[in-house]
Amino acid sequence: MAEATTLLLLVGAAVPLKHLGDWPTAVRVLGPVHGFAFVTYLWLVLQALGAGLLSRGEAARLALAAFVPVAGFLAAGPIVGRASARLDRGQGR
Amino acid sequence: MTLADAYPWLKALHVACALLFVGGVVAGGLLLAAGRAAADRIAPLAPVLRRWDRVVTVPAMLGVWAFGLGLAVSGGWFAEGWLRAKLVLVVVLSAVHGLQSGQVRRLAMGHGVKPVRVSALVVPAVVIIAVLAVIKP
Repeated sequence: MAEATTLLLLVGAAVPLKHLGDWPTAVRVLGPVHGFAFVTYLWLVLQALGAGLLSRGEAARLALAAFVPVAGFLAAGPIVGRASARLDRGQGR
Repeated sequence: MTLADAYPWLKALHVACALLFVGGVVAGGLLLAAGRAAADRIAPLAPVLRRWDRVVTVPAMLGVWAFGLGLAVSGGWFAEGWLRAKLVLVVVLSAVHGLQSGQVRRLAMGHGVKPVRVSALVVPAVVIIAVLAVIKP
């Protein structure tokens, strides 16, 4: 959620402000914040893949969603739901 | 305190976190290699490593990123090629640790572990990162 939100703010607000409003400060602040959120998100996806809670396809979809604004909000819900169900059942792949 | 004043502190904390993080990644790799050879004897050690991961390695990884990004902002280095290459390698190390952490969790739960082939990248990545950080080519 944090990754998708910071990407949306970066692409939807900070980048236009830099190029159209000549105000680069927002990109300078939000860029590193988004980078931090991206790495944390990637780490969580790979940990779930390593633990067998996600298939390779699901992990790849989640990783790709990190590069498309709004996609993170849409992709995460159903896949995280399935992973949580596997976790509740004590299953791993 | 300005960013310039904070630079030596950010650098010291970044290096300390990097050492602890790499130590955790190497320990995870060794435990998983041993776990594949003798799962029944090594599995009892997995919860210990998981606790170490939660308390030390993961906070150190987050510290590496937070202090590293602070250093890059203070130095204005985001456009430099050496920093971009270093960022890619640290993403790889973080990704290897994520996979290993999941596998250690499997081992702790009594499931079999699969080889994390990308763990072979850890040593060359650490050497190249050190060269890039010190020489800044």
